[in-house]
Parts: sequence; structure tokens; C-alpha cells
Amino acid sequence: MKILERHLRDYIDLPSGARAVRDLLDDIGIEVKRIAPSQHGDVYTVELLANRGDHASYAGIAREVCGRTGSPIRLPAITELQVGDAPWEVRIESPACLRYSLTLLERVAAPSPLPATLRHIIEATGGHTVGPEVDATNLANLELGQPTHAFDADTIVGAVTVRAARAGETCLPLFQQTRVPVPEGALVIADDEKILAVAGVIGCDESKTTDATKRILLESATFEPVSVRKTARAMGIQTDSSARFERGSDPSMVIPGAGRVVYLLESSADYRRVGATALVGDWVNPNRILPVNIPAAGNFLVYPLSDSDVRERLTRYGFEVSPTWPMWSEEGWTTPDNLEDAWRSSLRHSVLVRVPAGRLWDVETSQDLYEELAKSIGYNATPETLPPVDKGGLPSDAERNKAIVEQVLVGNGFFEVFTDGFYGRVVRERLGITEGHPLWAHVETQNALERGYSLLKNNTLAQAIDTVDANLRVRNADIRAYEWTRTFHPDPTAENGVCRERKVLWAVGNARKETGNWSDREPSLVWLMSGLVEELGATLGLPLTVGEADPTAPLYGCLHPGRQGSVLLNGRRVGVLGEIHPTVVRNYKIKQDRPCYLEIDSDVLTSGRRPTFMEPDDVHPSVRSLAFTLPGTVRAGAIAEHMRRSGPPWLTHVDIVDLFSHVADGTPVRTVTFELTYSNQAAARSADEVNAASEYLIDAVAQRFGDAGVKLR
Amino acid sequence: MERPDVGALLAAFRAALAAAQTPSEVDDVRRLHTGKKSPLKESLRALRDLTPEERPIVAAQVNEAQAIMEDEVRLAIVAAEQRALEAQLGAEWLDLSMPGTAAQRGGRHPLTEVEERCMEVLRQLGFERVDGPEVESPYFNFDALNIPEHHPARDMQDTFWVDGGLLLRSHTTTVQARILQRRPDLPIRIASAGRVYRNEAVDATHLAMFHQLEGLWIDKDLTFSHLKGVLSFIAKSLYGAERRIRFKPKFYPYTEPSVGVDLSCVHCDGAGCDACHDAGWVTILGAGMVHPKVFREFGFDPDKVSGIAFGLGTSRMASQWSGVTKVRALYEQDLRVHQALHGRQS
Repeated sequence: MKILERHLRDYIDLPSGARAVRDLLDDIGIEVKRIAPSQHGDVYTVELLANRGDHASYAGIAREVCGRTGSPIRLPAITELQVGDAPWEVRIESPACLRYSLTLLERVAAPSPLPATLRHIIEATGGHTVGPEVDATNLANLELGQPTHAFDADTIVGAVTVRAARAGETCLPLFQQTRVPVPEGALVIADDEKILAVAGVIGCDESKTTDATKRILLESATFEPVSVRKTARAMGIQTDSSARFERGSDPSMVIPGAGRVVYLLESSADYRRVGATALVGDWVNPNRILPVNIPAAGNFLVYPLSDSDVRERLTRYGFEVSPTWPMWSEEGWTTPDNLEDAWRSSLRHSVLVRVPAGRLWDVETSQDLYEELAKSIGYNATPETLPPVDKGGLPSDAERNKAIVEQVLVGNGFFEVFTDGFYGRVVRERLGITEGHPLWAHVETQNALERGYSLLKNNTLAQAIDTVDANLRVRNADIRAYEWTRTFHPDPTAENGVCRERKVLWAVGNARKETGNWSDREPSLVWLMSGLVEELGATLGLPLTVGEADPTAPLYGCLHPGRQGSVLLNGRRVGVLGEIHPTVVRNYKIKQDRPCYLEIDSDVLTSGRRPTFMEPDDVHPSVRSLAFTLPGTVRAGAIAEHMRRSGPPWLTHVDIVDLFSHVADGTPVRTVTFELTYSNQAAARSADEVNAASEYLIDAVAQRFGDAGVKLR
Repeated sequence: MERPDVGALLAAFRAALAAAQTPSEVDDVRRLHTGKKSPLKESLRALRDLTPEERPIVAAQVNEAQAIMEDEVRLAIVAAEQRALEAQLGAEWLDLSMPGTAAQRGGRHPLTEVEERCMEVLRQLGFERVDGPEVESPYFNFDALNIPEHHPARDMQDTFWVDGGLLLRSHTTTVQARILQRRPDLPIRIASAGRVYRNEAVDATHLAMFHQLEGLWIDKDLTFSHLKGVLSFIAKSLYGAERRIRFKPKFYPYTEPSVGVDLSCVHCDGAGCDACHDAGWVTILGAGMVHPKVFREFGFDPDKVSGIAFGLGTSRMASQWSGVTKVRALYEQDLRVHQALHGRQS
């Protein structure tokens, strides 16, 4: 909302200087976002609290200032309207209209504009002056926060009815060129033939005032906030009036609001009232009364509050406050019927507070009144104390494990990124996912503003490739990124009946120049990914291994069939790694790069425990090397594992230490060197014993892998 | 018998030694001229053929020549070794203007650093981190937090609705609601951090997904003064004890009173400048006393317990602390940004 500082001073005394005014308004919760000079004075753009419809006017802001400073409020002149038999029939057919009034005026002379000083108030705050009737209604709205509307009375046929819109009804809102449908059930103001206005939202073109207008029917009303809110959103129309009604307007201001408009119009002597003002509606002030226990309020705010102090402060905000129990006046304050029994026994040292009509929407509990007291004192004027703390906390095991994982990744050159929780439908096509694929089904968003938010992600590969793509586009081919995130998987058996969430760590790597590979013939970062698994397993104390790829893994088809593996924990698949399938990469229009991908269940990683300490041997072990020639796709890891299982208990390690890829008889083969470590800790082993154990392992490998073509080199 | 020509032997030795360059060549000279089969040793063996008068004279000459040769060999070896070392060092010159080959570290996201820093502060007050789902029910996201249907606050949080009438949480307060539903023993001191979602068109400063960190402290007899004390402790621990803070009224449906915490602008210290839009202050925290309706929703008696709730916009903090002025850049996967944040030239 924009306000003219000079005009606010007409309502209440303010400190001198923009800085002081700004500090005061900020301090009472009316936050000044901007101060801009204009030819009429400084214009303040203020942000009002979302639950305070009563703030949205000069009078409302002045009331809030009064609550702090106690300066008296000066309201503008208002004509006291007589409510009674009206010259126009009006009826309400919906409970969503709380109060509705109509006042008939007729033009007795050619209308002259409102005085310049008043028009400046509208102009300075971004409005346009149109003519005296519309300007007067807009001004009253700005001044008092009571929306009003002027109809051309001679365009109205029959009675004015406040009712729910019927199916198929349309209207032509002001400032629009074509008729628009009105949602069925929306509250409208109608005559016998047409809709005159969408209640609380906007008037309609067919009943607007013009230069030719002779009689004006002035509407002032209060509508139920939710009704206005739903209609405004459904029709996509937001106006100053709808903003005020949505936050709750003051039913007691219906007649004074109309009275201000009448005053403005009659002041020019161009208009004259005809008859009394019609007022209909079932609204009755509920006289909400809340108790405030003064010691309790003082304890809550840790501020010395006297009876008179509480009374004075709340009165400034417009609350009526009783004397302190037991000194209530029997005439003005009796124990109200709607006061809970629980309070009756604890009313000693309490006051009863009657909530003004304009605050019924936001003041519902005694704690709401504590807030009023706090604002009146000033949030910065009450003391602050740190509560007693018995103990500080330490990071949980999961948090510590997460930090360990990050050390491993960061130490290997990976940067953490954050990606969205969703993506567009095009992802399925890019990943080559068709109907029936385990990753086809997604949880879908219902109202996303952008296509890229259509599906909650059920995999993280898509965004990993996006990361590669985004960096290649800026000529950054050296890519190492990771993310802790979660994926969403449709599952009717889940706790929420829709989906389960899987927490996952993913990493992606890409490089055009890489060192430390086994040989030039091998792909690059796959080894880095498998090395990460080994390092994570070691540092977290988890038996993580890289096993054969699992064709049932959801991402199996998205990774290179010959360059992928499963991440296993005690034989259970907890992740995958591998080079991204060339076809998938091409779908992203990535041409020469071969990015590699890794994902592991986060819960597995954060459940790690510290590695068990193993005392190092103090006797040197015996070491032997064996080299085998491996044809085709025989896995070196399988041979190492077979030797580990076949060897004696004092065979402590079987490590792969060298690889030589070459061509034998026209066939590509690999010669892999295994290093066998035999412990001498428990008993010294002779060279013959160690050699015999190695011979045994050679035979074991020959028996298990000989048919596959594995030979001792 | 002819007397040996010691002088000639010495001359031949010196000529050979002068030609020797490497330590092994010098050693060859030593072996050839002073070894067992050398002419010098041959001269000593030939002394028996000399007259008794000549024998001591010649012997002295030979011994002297041998001593000279051994001394000169020692010196020559030292010199040759020095030459060899110099040659080696010269040959081993490296162009250290080439880049080093140490593995370069990566880096955590600024947001993770911010979360960790916040948790370090909160742990001092006994807070523990808790977690909850991102796909939520409207109950935990709205209704349980005193945000009924059509409440204006639902506008502030335009929501991503998903299948089954569920939604993507619009704040991490949902985690607090879930904890309250479990009714743990008092005191409750929890912090929840993570992704939240708003159905907004994305631009430089608006994101459809960003991060929050929220804290909740429930106990008996917590007061507005305690709320301010906790907020002040958090703000000054995070931003420095020298920074000024102020409290101002705000509205959040699940707290009453609700409080905003402003920090004096780092650029102007409250005087007002372009960076803070002349306000002199920057809002860093939203907070309040837990609303009685929220307590009642979960079966707590608001007359017997009270609570402090607060939320930090960690995305914004990450932007401020890292110097990345447009928060969106932190959510894009341009690794050059992250490399630059960790001192790498992209």
C-alpha cells in the first residue's frame, strides 16, 4: 500500500523527519519498503501484515500508531446517515453478505471535481482520478478502509439483491472488453435482469456512473472474507476492495464509510441525498470478550504491567476494557455468558476486553491481546533472556557420517549442487523410458506453473546429466558434482497413500583429460566412481563393494551395459555406478563426452559406523604375485574373490595391482597381476609353505576359471 | 739393473688423471697407476734387483710418488663427483611453471555450510536436527498450523499440489507439526532444515524450490523474553556480536505474537544505503511464540506449556554469505560458480 506521509499527519501526530517516521512504522509492524518523493510529498510504500485488513487505510495506520504513542486520532468529516425506510428495495439472499447498505443521491448540478488536495491523495498513491463519484468512493476506501461503490441508479431494474451467482451467468466487469463467466455460487449484486457487481471484487460496466448519470445508488457493505477471496481468485481479478474484504472488513464501518462518501459529494453542493439509507443484513456484533490476567500478561512479556497500564494501552487500539476484577461495574461489565467456566475461577487480577468489530477477524484469544500489549510497549523495549540450557548437543551419528562422505567426495574434487525436486515429462524420452519401465510412473504435480515442474523426480540420473550438459555448454568439461536429495516413487501402500521418498546420494563425473587410469584403453571416471565406493566403505566402516550389474536395477538400461556395476552392501544392492549409456548421452545432444554416474542410498551411508581397529602385524608378511591372462569379460574381481575364499586363513589380502591390455592371437586379452599377502603373525611361514599355498591358488583359479580361458601367465 | 723412472711414471699418471672426467674413470686411473699390477708397484718389486745403495733411494722415490698419486686421485674423485652431481642436477631441471598435479578438492554447497553453521549454534542450546517428508498432507502443512482453507496465509505460499490431494511442503514447519503429534517429553528442542517448494515463476530472486531451517523449543514457562533471548543469541552467533538487531511485529499463523528480526545492514550499519533500500536493516529471521491453537491441535494445554518457533531463510543466508547476489545461481549446476567460491579459476 502507498500512503502520502503528509496526509497521514492529518490523522495523527508523527515524529519529524522521514527516518523517524520510518523507524516508528517499522517498529509497530507497518514495514516501510520504500520512500519516494512526489510533487505532493513523500510517498511511503508500506507492507501490511497479512491478517490485518483494518490496517489498510490512513485511519487504520493511525490507530496502530496511536496504540504505540497514545496520540489522538483525527478522523475525517463524516455525514451521519439516517438508516430507515429507503427509496430502493434491497434484499440479501446469502449469509456471505454480513451487512449491505444503499444510499440514494441525485445530482442537482453538473458535478465538479473533488478539491485538489483530496485528489492529490489518490494520485500520489498511484490511483487515477476519474470523476467525483468514483473518486469519493476510492478516497473513502483509502481513508477509512471501507470499500464503497456507486451505481447509476437509472440503469437498475427492480430491486437490488445480494445473492449467489447462478450457473451460466456472465457479467462485464469494469475495464474489460468482453463478458466473463461468473463462478456459480459466487456472491453477486444483481437487479432483476443483470449482475451489477461481483460482491467485494468489482463493479460492472452496465451499471457504472457516467457523465450522464442523474441518480447514484451508493453501496457500502461487508462481505464474508472467504467468499470474496474464492471469487477473486476464481475470476483472476484482484482489486483494492477485494484485498480489504479478503482480510476482513469492519461491519461497523458500513454506515460511516458511506457517510464519508456522502460528505465528500454533498460538500460540493452538486449532490443531494434522497430519503434514508437502507441497511440490511443479519450481522450482529458478537461482543467477543476476552480475559487478560494482568500478572500472566506481565510474566509472558517479562514486563511490569499495572492495571491502568493494560487498560490504557488496549484502549488506544480501540478495545473496551473493564475495571480489574473484582471491581467491575455491574452496569457496564457483567460476567459474560460466553466466557468459559475455566476463566471464571481465575479472573482475579484480570480485566475483560471487548474486541472492536474491526478486530473480530484477528483477535480471538487472550494471547492475541498479549501481542497488542507487546506492540504498544515496543518489541525492542521488553527484556530478553536466554532460557536456561542444561546441555548442549553434538552432531548425531548420521550427521557425522554425512560429513565423512562429504570429506571423501570433496577430497576427490566433487562440488555439491542442489537440483529441483521435479522435472518435465521430456525426461522420460531422454532417458529412453517407455511405458512399463520401472521408472515410467511418477507422482505428478497438479497445478505447476511451468512444464518443467510436471513430475516429481523418481531418479536422479536425469538431473546428473543436466548438470553435465549445463557445464559443457559453458565449455567446462571437467565436471565432478554430487547431491544429497530424495526421489519420489508412487506407492499406494506408503504411509501417505501416494508415494514413498527415497533419500539418495548421487555423483556425476566427466573429464576429457584424466590421469591415474589403468591404461589409455580404459574409460576414465568409472574407476574414480568405484574408488569412491571403496573409500566410502572403508571410512564409514561399511562392507561396500562393486558387484556385477543387476539387469533388474531401474537404471540398468540407462547405463553402458559393459561399464556399469551394482553397489553392494553385504550382497544387497544399495546403488549403481557406471558410464551413462551413449544413447542417453546423445539424447541430451552431448557428443564427445562420456560422463559417469554413481548413486547410493543415503540411509545406508549415514548408518555407517566407525571402522573396527585392527592391530597391524608386527611381523613382516610374505608377499607373492600371480599374473593371469583373462579373456573376454571374465572379471578380475571374481578371480580375486575366489582366491580369497580358497586360500588359507593366513592369506590376508588379495589385491589387484596391475593390468596389461594386449592382443593375443588376434583377440584382446588382459593380463592382471594379483598380489597375495600371507601373514606371519600367528606363526612364521616357510617359503615352501607360502609357495605351496600360492600353487594351490593357481590350481583353484584354473579349476574355476580355466574353462573360461583364464591362464597363468 | 736400470733404476725405474719414477718421474715418467708420475707424468704418465698425471696425464691419465687429467683425461679422466667421471668418478669411475678416475678410479680406473687409480687402479692402472697405483694398483697391484701398476708400473709403480712393479717398481717396488724390482727394488731387489738394485744395489743396496740404490735401493733406499729409489724406494723413497717410489713411495713418495705413490703418496702423491693417491692424494691426487682423492682430489680428482671429489672433483669428478662434484662434476657428476652438477651434471645430474642440471639434467634433472624441472619447469615448475607447469601446473601442479595434486588432486584438487571440490567443495560443499554454501547452503550446506550455512546449515552446518546454524546447527553449530543451535546445538549449543541443545537442539537436535530432525527430518520429515517433502511430500506432505495439507493437514501438516496448513490445517494443523492454524492455516485453515482459504486463509490468506495460503496465498503467501502458493502451493504445488500433487497426486492424491497431497502437496510439496511449503515450509519446514511441517516437521515441527509431526514432532508435536508424537507428544515427546519436554523439553522439545528440534531443528528441521531442507527443501521447501513454492509454485512461483522462477526469476533471479524467486525459486520454485529453496531451503529453510526452522527451530522449535517447547517447555514450561517459556516467555516472550526467552523468545527474544534465543533469537538474539542465534543472530549474534551467526552474524557477530557487534551487529545490532531489532525486533518487529510480523504475522505468521502458527505463532502469536509473531516477530521479525532485523540485522543492521552490513554496509551502512543502520544508516540506510542502496544495498538495504535505505532501510538500514535486513530481515534475517521470522519467529514467534507458538500459537495456542497449534498446542491445542496436538493435545497440549497452552496454559501449561509454551513454545518458541523460528525460521531462517538459509537460501538467502547462503547468498549473502557467499557473495552470490542472485540466489538462483546457487541452484543452477554451473560448477564454475562453485569452483570460484572455493578459490578456483574457471
